[in-house]
Amino acid sequence: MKSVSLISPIAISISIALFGTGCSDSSNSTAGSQFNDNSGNGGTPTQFNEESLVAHLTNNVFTPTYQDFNSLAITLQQAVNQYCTSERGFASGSNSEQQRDEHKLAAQNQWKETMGKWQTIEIMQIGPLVENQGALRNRIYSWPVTNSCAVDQDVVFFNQGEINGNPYDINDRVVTRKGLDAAEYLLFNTDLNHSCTASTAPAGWDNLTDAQRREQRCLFAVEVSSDIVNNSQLLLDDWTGSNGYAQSLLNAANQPGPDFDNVHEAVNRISDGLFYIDSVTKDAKLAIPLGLFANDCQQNACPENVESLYASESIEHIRNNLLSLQMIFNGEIASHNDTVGFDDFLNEVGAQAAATNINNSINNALSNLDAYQETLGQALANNPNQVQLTHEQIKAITDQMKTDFINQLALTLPASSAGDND
Amino acid sequence: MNLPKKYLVKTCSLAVSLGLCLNLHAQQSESPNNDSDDTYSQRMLIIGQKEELNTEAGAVTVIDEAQLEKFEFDDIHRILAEVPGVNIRQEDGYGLRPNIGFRGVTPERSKKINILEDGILIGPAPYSAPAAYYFPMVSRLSSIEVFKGPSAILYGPNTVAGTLNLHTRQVTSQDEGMVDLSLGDFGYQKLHAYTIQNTGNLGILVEALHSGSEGFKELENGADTGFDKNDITTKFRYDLDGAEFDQVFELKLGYADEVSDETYLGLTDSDFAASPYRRYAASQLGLMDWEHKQFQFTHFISGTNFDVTTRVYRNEFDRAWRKLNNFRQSSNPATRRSLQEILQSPTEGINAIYYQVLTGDKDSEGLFEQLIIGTNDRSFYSQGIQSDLQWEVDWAGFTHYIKAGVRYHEDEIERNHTEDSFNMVSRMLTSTGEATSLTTANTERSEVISVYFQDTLKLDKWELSLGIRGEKIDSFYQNNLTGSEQDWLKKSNTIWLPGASAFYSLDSHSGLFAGIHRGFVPTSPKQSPDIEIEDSTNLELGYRYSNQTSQIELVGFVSDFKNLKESCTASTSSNCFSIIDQEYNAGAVDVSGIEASYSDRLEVNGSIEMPWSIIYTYTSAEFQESFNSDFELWGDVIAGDSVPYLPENQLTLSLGLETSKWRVNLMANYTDELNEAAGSNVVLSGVTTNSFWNVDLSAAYDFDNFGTVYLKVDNLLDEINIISRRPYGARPNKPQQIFMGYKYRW
Repeated sequence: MKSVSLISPIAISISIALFGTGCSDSSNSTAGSQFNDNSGNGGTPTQFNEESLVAHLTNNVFTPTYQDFNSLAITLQQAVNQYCTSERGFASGSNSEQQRDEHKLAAQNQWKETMGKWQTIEIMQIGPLVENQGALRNRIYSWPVTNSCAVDQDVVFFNQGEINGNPYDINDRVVTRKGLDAAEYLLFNTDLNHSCTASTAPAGWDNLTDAQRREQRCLFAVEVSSDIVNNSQLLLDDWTGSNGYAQSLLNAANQPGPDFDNVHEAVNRISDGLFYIDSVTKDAKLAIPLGLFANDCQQNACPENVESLYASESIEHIRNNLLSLQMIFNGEIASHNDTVGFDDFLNEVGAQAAATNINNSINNALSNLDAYQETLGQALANNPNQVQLTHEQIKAITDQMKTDFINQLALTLPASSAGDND
Repeated sequence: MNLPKKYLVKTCSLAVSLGLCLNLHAQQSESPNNDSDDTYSQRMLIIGQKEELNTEAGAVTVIDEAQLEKFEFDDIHRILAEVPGVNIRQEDGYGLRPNIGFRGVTPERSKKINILEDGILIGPAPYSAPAAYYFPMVSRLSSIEVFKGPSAILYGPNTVAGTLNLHTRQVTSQDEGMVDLSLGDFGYQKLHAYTIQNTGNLGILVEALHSGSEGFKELENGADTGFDKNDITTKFRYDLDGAEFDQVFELKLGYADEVSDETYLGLTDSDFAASPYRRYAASQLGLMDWEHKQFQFTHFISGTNFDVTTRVYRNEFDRAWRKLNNFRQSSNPATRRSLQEILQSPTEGINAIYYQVLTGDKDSEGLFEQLIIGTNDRSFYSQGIQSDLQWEVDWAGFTHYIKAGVRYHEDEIERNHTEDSFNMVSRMLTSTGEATSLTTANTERSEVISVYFQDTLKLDKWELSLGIRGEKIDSFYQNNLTGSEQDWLKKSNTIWLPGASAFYSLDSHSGLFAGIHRGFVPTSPKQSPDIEIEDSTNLELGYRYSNQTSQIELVGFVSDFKNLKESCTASTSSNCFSIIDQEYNAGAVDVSGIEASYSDRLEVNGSIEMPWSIIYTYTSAEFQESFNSDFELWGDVIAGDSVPYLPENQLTLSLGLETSKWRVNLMANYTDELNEAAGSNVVLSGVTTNSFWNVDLSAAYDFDNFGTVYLKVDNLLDEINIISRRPYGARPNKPQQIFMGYKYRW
């Protein structure tokens, strides 16, 4: 048949052609300069002793910082207790207003010192501070998840000793009602009215005298500061000890356990913590108040969205974040001679310029903070360009961390910094 | 919605009246040229008529129109319960967006199987974005074929698992028509009508279908939680039979749309236990709105020993899904969390605050309590031309049965994803006034040339097949956001997929078969070249028996995946929003299993028959490598962990009593528990769904010339189960639903 005679050679040649290809697969690709292939690194094999980096940072930087925080938390609890005793004494006439104010100022200063140390730890969020969705971290300090009305409500609940018939237990309370953020509100807020709406107002608060309100707040501040001590001790317990996270870091090189498959993974987890400077210091503490991201002021400059609303320590917090980054990056801590840091790792892989650039950028940002003559909230209202400059200088740091730092050291970005928010 | 219900009702009425008016005329003008009818209709099917003993080496299942009508299902998940080797993850209870997998491949959005309508890839963009957010309305299908095994190489691109061919109504040479009206619980209504009219060699089909429901889930504000779906299909067929060749020209035009008040947000386990059909206030703005347009032109020519089917096609699909994405991310790693994490541990830490806002029990106060509602707006097209040859030829002393084909295909997805922020105020979502933000804008496109060739030799009782498929995929990705012009990727991949099989006829009713083929799933255009293709070697061995009343099939299969690949979509987890469609490698995975089916029809007495069937599937799917993954379905996997969402055992029993006047059928389906995740350190680690039975009942009575009344009860025992906790939160199966319907044919 004619059709067969036509189609037959075609089909046969198709079959021969197909089998004749040898069935070999092939692939090729080209990409634009901005394409992120998520391949993780462009780094080269290194002889750098990552074990020594992990050991130094664990033993001489992280552990002492956590211990210092615990000591400061205990001192804070004592100072708040003393202030509260004084507040009650003033109410009963047993001591003067000046004595009460001095003790209050001492408690406030102690809060600032304790908080300063915590801002150092914010850059060190690994292990127990990130497990369980950061539950322990949030119990100690939950910003930006804060709620002054919730604190006002718990002042009343605590002083009543019960909630809906159940004894008050601060351990059961949501993190917006406790921690360093609640303590800030209780110690620094001078407005004795509650901050709630009519429907959420704490029962009976409006009927209290000013003295009763101060007393109830300070009594709850004692409870909150005791809770901070307990949680800082929990952090130490989880960190130190034979099964603690510190030991897990130290074992990563030779006895990898459930936390790490190898020492490079341990280095990567420490690196993850450093990116707080990107997602929180740069974005949450500066970009949101500036209105670069959505905020409470329709993306205009928004003093209401700064971190430290009551103690006005926002700039100090940023400074402490940067100092902590500098300390870990260079491995330099005053109390120890060893200085193994990420800068040495970069030098070892031939990326000296990256190490120098990151250090210069950190120093520039710190110098910028020194120039502030007013609080961050005031600067946002009066001189937003200054805040914008601070943001840009910190972005200069994080831009290098997201590129040279990650690529040269063959690290991966944490998910919170993987998207390009800029 | 572009095509309101009223319009559909009119169209249905038009179809009915047109059919009735032309009926008389048609009776006088029966189509004289229907020689090519059977051959052409067969080519629309992969497998062909089920009455014959199929000698394809590969597990095959055909669900014909009579079977489809038994239960009048709208949900493809329920229909596929009658098919062995199918694994399903239900989601909304109605099957609006099916999750279907075969032989152990992940069912997520059916993206690893080939879904064809009348032999044409019907997914919105099968290469560039294989997630099948569009699925044809099953009520208008006349049969369904499920095909697994080595002949998968004939139907790419996905050859790891198999092919689902949805067969729409053909323009028959006999004039006919039907109207079907059904009402049910939860405001369910269905109106379905078609008519086929022939004039000379020209045949015309008009078919219209509407179905909808107010929904079985409950929002506090009383709003609907259901759907409205419409579909119109027309076919124009012209037969041209000659002395040497018979030809068919067919134009198919289709339009469909859906508006559904669906959400990705489920419930906490404890809320599910208290009120399984509840929907949280934060889900009240959930809405899926899509529109699908279809064009297909087919030319068919057949001679004495060959036929060629050539199809030109274009499908367009536009969808916008508005749904709750998350709370405004606070940037701080310690406070950011997914909705899945919140619902899995709603009292832990700050989750308690988020949970109260989700339910509406607490108003949004801080910035962190704002809810982000995203609208994922996507436009797709899929077009191409394909030609398939079947040819019987004697050559080199053997009779060869050649199947060969070539296809040029293009598809594209364009994403425009936006987000808006809302506060929860007095249990209602209220806009914060922030401007809408564009979060994702990109395009992925694929241009593909596919060829296949299969030669089957018949040697006495043996049929030996050797085939190969080639896919040359050129793909392109471009980020369309301003400032991201250099974020693009071009890839070119060529892959060859060989397959071989043998069928040995034991007698005229039974045979043994075996096959081996290479399985493949391509990566999407935006995936890094480092993301490997899914690559497997698939083997099977089976036995098949078929006579006029009985069909038996027993198949054992092994799939050896060199690399299992998955992608992170919003339907997987809310953790995927920042990395939407990112793909992951899992390395080696072994899947094995047994598929068994036995159906028979017994005669109870002279007038009553008892059809029954038993369908069983055993599947074992295990990772062969240990690895740590951020992918929410995997987590930290240890070699030996099971692949999630694959029930080890599935069983379907069906039993009926049928006479010429009435019929009653019962179908009971058992599904083992499902792992919601494979390894540790992801939100749903260690969490499983419960095993459960679902029983459906149907009954019908024929009034001779006055149509048929039917009654059906889905979920007869009113069992309540968590069908899955994805995308985020526990989701219920459909509760008991009773339907009454009337169907009239002419």
